[in-house]
Amino acid sequence: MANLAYILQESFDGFRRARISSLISTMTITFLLIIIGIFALVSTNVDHIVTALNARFDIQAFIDNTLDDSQITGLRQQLSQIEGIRQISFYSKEQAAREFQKEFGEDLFDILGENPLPSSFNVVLRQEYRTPDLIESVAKGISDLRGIDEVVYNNQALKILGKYAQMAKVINSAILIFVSFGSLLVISNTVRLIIIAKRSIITTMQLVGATRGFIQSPFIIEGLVQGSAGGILASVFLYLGSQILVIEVPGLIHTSLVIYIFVLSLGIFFGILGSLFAIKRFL
Amino acid sequence: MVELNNVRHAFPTGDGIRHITFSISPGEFVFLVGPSGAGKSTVLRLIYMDLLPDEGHIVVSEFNSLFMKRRDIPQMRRKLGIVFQDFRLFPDRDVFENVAFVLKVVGRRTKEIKRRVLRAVADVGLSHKARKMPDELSGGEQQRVAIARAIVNEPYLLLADEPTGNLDPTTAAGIMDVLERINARGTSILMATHNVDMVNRYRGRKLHIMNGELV
Repeated sequence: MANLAYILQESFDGFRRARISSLISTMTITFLLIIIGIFALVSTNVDHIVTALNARFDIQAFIDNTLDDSQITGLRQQLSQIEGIRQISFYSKEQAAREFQKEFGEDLFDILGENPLPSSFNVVLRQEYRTPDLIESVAKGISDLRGIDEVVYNNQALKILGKYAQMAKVINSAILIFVSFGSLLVISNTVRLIIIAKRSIITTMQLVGATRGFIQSPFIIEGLVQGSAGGILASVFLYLGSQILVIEVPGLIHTSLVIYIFVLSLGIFFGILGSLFAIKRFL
Repeated sequence: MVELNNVRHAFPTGDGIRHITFSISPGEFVFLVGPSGAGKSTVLRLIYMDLLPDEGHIVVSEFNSLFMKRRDIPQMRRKLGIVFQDFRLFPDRDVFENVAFVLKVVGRRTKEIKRRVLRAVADVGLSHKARKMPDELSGGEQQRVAIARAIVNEPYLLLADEPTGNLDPTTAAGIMDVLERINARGTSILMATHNVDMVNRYRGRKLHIMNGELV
């Protein structure tokens, strides 16, 4: 018990005696965790952005101009039986003309004396069908129906998006690993410089019979506290930063508690391991 | 009992000590006298097992250099008090805490630590400076703190490596008085020094070392 009291007292005194160097290592951990946190946020949000963009994906099926209302109703019936379709909305020729006028500022009827725009179905696919291959097969099923003139969708964009999202995730994860590893080295080196300053003290402690554990425990507790402080500061920064971003661009990024827990745990891990690495060479 | 038996230790440079055999009985005051580089500090380092012998063996209380494990070394050093020429105080804590550290290492209770530290600090005449930091003290005072730290756990043997080397003659005499008082209470002392004139003024066995051998 006397030892535990000593270790806690000594750790606390360590901060008091070396405010500047404690502050430096805490800030080092904070900055590195912010960088790691940003990469972690990007990693989790790549998925989110892809999902958000995919959700807007739809297929437009243009209907043969010669079909009457009852035939269109029948066509809709057939359409709804195709696997993978979540929602079908009907756009009449008149709605299409209104959209056209909104877009071009001209009334087609005035120019042409008739409305050449076809009516169409707007088809939204179920989430699990929003992959390039499945989209193609659903689109084929739709265009095969009698009464559908043409099917339009932007599969290419989806393919590119999917490809780059995958690549972004891999690159981002690689950077995350490198930055984490680099952080451990930087933190360990910072602690090492602080310990070098205490080298003669450590030697004297050994000469008066202090055991390894007795000497290193306060350093590890210091590392733990600095790591936790860095983790908390970095989490606060990331939270505030993402809140500001969300105000600027609503829905751009989603943060979750998991990110903050990750950053905090990493801080504690870095703090302890950094101290252990650094002190190992002197004991 | 402290015993060195035909001890040899060679450094990679070729320097070192050899054929060192002597023992120190309880309560003895022994001087290890010789010029710089003769091997005095090496003998002391071998006794506190900062170095281990290449040949022969060293016995300190129940510890034998032949059977020492790394983890036994702190236990062994707790039986010794060590004083250096350059004091080696902890610059980041005051006199009281410097002396108290030794007792915290062995896990003594706070109340006992206080009692013992105050007594040790009084023994070296520094009660009025217990809350001073090392850099607020003179060289002689710093060495007294180092001695207080060395004796506070009632060591089996006090090792002093040129304890007066950095001090003027008057201050050195004061340190010698303190060491004699401690010795008179029964603590064995082994003091290494190059100062033959000074040693001759004090009682105690003299071992002379030259080029790594006792002469």
